[in-house]
Amino acid sequence: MDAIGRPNLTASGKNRSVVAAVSRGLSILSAFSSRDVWLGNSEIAARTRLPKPTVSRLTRTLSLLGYLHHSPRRKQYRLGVAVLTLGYAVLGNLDVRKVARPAMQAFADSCNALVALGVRERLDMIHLETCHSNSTMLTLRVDSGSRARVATTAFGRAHLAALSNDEREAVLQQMSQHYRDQWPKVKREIDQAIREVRRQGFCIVMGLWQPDINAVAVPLVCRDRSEVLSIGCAGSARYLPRRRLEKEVGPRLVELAQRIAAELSRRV
Amino acid sequence: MKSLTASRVSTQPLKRSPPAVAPAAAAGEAVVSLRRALEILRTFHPDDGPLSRHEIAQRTGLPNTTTARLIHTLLMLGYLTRVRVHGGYRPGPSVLALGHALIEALPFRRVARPLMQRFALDFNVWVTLGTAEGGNMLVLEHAASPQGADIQVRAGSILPMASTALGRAYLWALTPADRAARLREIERDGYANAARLRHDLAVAIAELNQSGFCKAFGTWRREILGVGTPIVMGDGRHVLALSCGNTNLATNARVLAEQHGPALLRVATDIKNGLLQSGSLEDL
Repeated sequence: MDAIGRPNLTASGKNRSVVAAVSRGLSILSAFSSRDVWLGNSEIAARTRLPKPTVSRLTRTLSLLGYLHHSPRRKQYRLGVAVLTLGYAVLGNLDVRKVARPAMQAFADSCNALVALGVRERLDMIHLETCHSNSTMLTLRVDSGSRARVATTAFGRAHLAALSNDEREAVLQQMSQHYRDQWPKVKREIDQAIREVRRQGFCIVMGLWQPDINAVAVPLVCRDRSEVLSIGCAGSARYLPRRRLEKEVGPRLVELAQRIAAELSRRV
Repeated sequence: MKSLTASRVSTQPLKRSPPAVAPAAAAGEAVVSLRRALEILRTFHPDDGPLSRHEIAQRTGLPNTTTARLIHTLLMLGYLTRVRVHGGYRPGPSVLALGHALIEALPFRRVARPLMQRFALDFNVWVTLGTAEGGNMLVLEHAASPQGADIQVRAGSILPMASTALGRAYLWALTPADRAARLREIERDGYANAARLRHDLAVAIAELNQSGFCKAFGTWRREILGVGTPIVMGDGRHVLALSCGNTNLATNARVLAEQHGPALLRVATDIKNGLLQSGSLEDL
């Protein structure tokens, strides 16, 4: 893996360039987000760390194929509707989402919080399912498909705690290259979170995502599927002060994760 | 909420043509690979379970070694996930993130969804917003009444163009030349009885000209009744279609034609106005 977790392509000869184009093209698509709706070639090049001529070639191709849409006025691209054909409809029907959703919603309502289920994609957690209470609906703008950083969220740190040693080492290695000067501090906080999860089953992060938002998260391990997910609960410090997270919400979230994991095992 | 589980959305996989690309522009092995990798993702259908490498190779027509390499790359970037118990693959979290990014970027969910949900509740129908993609209709947004029946359709679902009210409304908005070309493609795919298709479409066009909406009663699924209307913006550069429907147990042709159709037109107008207000048309 290289600095931002892109795969080093080890295929030889002809294979190398063939696979590289796919990797680069997909990286370009992944550069777009709800924050970065319109991006020009230079911006894409900066984000993906690809050479600009490569980016220009690939954005033109993706645009011709319908996966990007070019605005002549803005001289920028946005995602094209064709990206919805890449299997998006399949993911609305995932077992884990259907199983977890009712209990997650009940939990969210009971705590005035957001409850989210997520999976790691390189250095990000991607929300598979999100359940809002009335009080978080407008203030915490996350939804299925949103990304969050593994290193700096309770969501991500709980996931790290449940990985095998080898897997975790690999991810931490990528992170160290990504965070550079900040890495010692980030690593300390991650280690702390992992200790918390091992000790009490959950980890807490206060005010890191947004100033007034506290969060607690628990790993969710589906044994039979060998998948490590994470389930997190976040809300305003007013409803979720540290004490409440430690004494009540954290332990209940641990139970919730166990129930969901058990249900999923039954269904396999 | 009842759902029509007895029948799939389509009885056979829809012919999904890859997006048309000028050959010169698509030249180059690297570009071909990218296109093929994306084709792999396009073969997944909500009704499938996970697919094995062999099944993926069969569906795409690619050699096994090529498929294996492309699958590996898709795995590395989270566009495919390995389903360990099954030993197959399904779309991965990056696909979810990508769809989410698109939906957030475009105003359709923001503008249309509340209007569609309201309409679904008021009339006890399901409502679908879509646009054309790859010879079929791509669903952008879907809403249903919690109490009523629903079809298993959501953002990203693919529906046929010729047999649905959604698709026919879209076809109406094309120029005659484009429409003829599109019809030839549909006929070539062998999806529909050609003579029947042209007749049904001619009827739909006449309905649209007269009342602003068209009907598809039993032409897609025998038990489903639907009406549809186009939403045309930017002098025809952007064409969406809006449809609503129900089962023939829950409603009948007359109610759809006399009540739902006209009401659908109003919702379509509201959606169009909302989209126009939401920003520059060029950005759509």
